[in-house]
Amino acid sequence: MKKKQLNSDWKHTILNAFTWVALILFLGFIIIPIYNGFLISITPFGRLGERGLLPIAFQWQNYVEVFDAINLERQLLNSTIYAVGITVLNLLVTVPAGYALSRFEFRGRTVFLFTLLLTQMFAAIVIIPALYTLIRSFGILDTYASVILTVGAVTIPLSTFLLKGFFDSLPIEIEEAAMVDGCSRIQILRQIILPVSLPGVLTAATFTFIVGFQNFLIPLIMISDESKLPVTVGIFNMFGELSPPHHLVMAATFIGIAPILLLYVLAQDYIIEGLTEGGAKG
Amino acid sequence: MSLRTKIEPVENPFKTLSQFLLSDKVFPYVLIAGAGTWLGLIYAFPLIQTIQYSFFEVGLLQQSDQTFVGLQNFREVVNGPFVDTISRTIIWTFGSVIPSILLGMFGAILLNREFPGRRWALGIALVPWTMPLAIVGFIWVMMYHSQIGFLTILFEEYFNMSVSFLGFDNALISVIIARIWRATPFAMIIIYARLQSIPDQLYESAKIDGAGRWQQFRYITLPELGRVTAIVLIMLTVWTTLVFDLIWTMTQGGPVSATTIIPIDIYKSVFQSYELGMAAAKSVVTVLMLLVVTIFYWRVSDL
Repeated sequence: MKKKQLNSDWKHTILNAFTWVALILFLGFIIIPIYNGFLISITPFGRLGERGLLPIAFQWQNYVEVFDAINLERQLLNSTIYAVGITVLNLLVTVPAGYALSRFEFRGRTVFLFTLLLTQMFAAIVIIPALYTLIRSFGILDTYASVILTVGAVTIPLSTFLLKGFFDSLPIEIEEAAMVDGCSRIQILRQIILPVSLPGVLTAATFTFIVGFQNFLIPLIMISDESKLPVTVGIFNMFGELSPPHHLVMAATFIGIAPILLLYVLAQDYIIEGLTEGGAKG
Repeated sequence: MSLRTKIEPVENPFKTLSQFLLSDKVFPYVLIAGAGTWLGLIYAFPLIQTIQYSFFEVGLLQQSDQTFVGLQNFREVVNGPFVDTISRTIIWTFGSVIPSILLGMFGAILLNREFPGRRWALGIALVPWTMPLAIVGFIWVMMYHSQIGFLTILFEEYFNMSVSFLGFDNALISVIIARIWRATPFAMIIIYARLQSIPDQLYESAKIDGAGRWQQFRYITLPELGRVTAIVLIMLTVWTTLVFDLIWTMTQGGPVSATTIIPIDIYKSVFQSYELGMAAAKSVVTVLMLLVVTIFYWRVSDL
């Protein structure tokens, strides 16, 4: 009996050790590319060739210098303008749409849902041939509007699904009671639904902002004016130079993702909930 | 679901416009009008026009100058290099989706146990998902760079091997690994959420019945994960097939065409050879292939 107990203890310890090793390997796989990029971002250009797997220098100066090399502050501002514009316009149409899908049966509901699903699945690349000529025929190529209009549409399905899921979780009884008491639809929306829907709206806003900030393809093809480029395309252009300054490219990369990383740290709970609820583009 | 039954009949629903818009029949359409119009304009309309383009020879610069060519674009697509693009895309998609799901499941199971710092570990594991795909591209190029890349240095100094990660032979597997890095956290968090929702009692009672760890995993955990894994599989399959940013920033489809998958091919047709008709035909073929997968998703999901 005692021997068996001992045996199981051993098994438990080995299993535990195995779990920890596996966890460290798993997190290592995630962290190493970021760690490597970070090392490059703090290495002087002339010494990049002699680098190994550990840091050889800490030249924080690179993070200042990169602002002279490219118009990074402008690009950060542009990315923010795109992301905020997309988020605000998106929520204006998706909050009502999510509510409608959650609360009403109507003819065409299934068609609308399936259209949403299709657009969530099919990235803009499949309609690029006609999308580009459409935006050009509007005469808005190379404007903020072109990106906001296009990427805004791309984000509609995700936030509609998130909001529908959120409204589904709110009990319908309160609205029914309000109806019986003679409240109008507008009163119900304003006084009952809106006040309690803040968490759902924030989740949808966080996701839309992240997708808006991440975008690359649409500004790549629609924006040629340097002063309107977002961070992603700006860094790409610096990367495409004949002998790119890798240390500055990496510094720009980390500055470029700082806003979303910050948002992620602040809104982690919303994000995890939203991911598991609606599934975001990955 | 519907509020319809609870509503007092309105005496004259068409008395005023606002009454009409707020009426039972019309109100839901008012609510979806914005999203519907926007999607119609930016998605449905270009989609229809893309289908139309696929039967024409259209240039990028004068798209008014169209010649009807029937199925010729499609004939060229199925007989030309696009076939290689499709097989490359299949390798790219399944080569990254399946490992992402396995790794994600592995990570989710590891993180599902209570241990100090679990929230931190979860937070770190999700970071690649927050990054723009383009930036993931920059970060991975720096892993593979032929002089200063982390992996290049690692292989040279510790294994005495010189590997050209982004060279012709290895480029596809290299971009696949970058994609796995980005997609694994997504698979992980969704599977993790499902694991968290499995009631503890199931495991307790299995333990009482004498089930070991493996048996608990095999007969409780795995079956519970079935549906969610199918959903992640379908979503990642479609999204990965249509990934553009990551490959464009890493290799632009090269060397030669070693990493030219469908989105890269379509992009090049539009913006490098200016053949909108050919690009459209490629899009249509792609959409038809992915539609099958999407309809399957429609049936497993509970939308």
